[in-house]
Amino acid sequence: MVIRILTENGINEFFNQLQEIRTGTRQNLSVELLKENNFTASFDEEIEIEEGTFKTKKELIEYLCEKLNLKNNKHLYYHRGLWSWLSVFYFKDLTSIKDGKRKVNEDAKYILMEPKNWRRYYRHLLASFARVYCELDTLANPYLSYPVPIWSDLHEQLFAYQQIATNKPLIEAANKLYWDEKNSKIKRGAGSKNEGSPRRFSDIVGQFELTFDLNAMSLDAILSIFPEQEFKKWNSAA
Amino acid sequence: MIRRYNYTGRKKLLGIRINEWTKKGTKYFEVICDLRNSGFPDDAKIFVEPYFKSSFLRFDFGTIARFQPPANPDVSDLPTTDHLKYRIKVVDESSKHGLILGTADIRGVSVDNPHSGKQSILPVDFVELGSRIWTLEFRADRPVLAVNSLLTDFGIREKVKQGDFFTLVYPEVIKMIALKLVTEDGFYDEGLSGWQAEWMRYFKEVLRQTQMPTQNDENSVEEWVNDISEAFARKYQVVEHYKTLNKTN
Repeated sequence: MVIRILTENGINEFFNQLQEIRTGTRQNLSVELLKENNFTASFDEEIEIEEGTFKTKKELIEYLCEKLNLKNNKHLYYHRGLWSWLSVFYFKDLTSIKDGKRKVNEDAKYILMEPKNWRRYYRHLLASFARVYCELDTLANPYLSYPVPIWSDLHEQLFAYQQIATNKPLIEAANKLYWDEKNSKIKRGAGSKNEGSPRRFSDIVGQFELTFDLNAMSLDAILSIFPEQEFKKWNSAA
Repeated sequence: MIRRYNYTGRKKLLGIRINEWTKKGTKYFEVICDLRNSGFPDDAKIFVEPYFKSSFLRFDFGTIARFQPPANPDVSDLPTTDHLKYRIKVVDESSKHGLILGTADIRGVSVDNPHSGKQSILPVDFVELGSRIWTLEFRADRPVLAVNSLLTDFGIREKVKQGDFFTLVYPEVIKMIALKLVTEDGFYDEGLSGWQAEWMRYFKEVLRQTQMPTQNDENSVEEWVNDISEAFARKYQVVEHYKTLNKTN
């Protein structure tokens, strides 16, 4: 199907239908939301996309970024109508079925709410991860390793803060602590709230920022200021 | 009174001015400063970070000895707002730790509207608000009446402080601010500072509301915030204004 964009009217209808799915009065989004002129408009370019079986976020996000040539079209990061329409198109991939009922998360996971407000933006299941993929390259692998509908605690703790999400050495440090490179999986316990967890990582970054310009620091310099006692088990654990 | 201690040895950068202007819908800025005689090492780096709430951009402005602003830095990747702020950092990159040697946190001044630098007790900002027309935001330095920027093409800038909008919205806004103040530490022992102290002064000196609510008494608090809102509506005669504005012949 050729990519379209949702109009504001289409976005309102998307809100309504998400709510209807939550309350059980509807099972799926209507097909009209994808192509009706009342809800959609044509996109700047004619780009054909297809449904598919995407085992991980990476497969879907890589596919979309290539189709949109996103690395060279970064202004599209903020295109509310585009990313919201893509969420409609891939809605079945972005949601899961539990006890025979489609499980729908908060609206911001599917509708790009305030595109330039980071705290809203990072919650979008497609736009946010596509940007992470384009900006961080292979450093994004840990966050794209999950199945498409999954919202990991690791992502939540790190990417909720723009000062972490857009700082490559910081993400590299987090990967070194929480990503098992050899087995390509998140280290066991990285979702906890305990000592040295990603939650503590983001708390500590907030404190360091008062004294250090973390954007100007290398990976080694960043790791050297983290409390050794608390983080040493993560530095080596697989 | 909130006391702040600085144990970091960081200097506060003074004498910096940020000019902002808009051209073809894009907002640009320039930084006017000379930090060469501020006691920082010549090779210390200067970074400028325009920000609004949790979103920010980062620009490299060279070093203390060689101030090199980027060509036409624009802030179009930030949310729409009239209240952009700028963090300026002087950073020591010669040691391995990127220590911040000096900082400033200032508002830009619009060269299109030189009076924008004046701070009102209740500034109005035009921001992305989705389907809402207005909301009251308690930002770090003061409450701000946030109005949907999509409506600026429909004359909302001019209508906010007059007409129907003022009569219908402001009394409730004042009530929301009063309600927020009651919950602030120091409210009952005259220990407020910053914007909280400014608003208390406004309630007492302009609205003549010198009575305080009884602590831990919900009814008394509700009565107090309603009295404040009522005093505001009375002072600005909002009912009369509304009648005049909507008189049918």
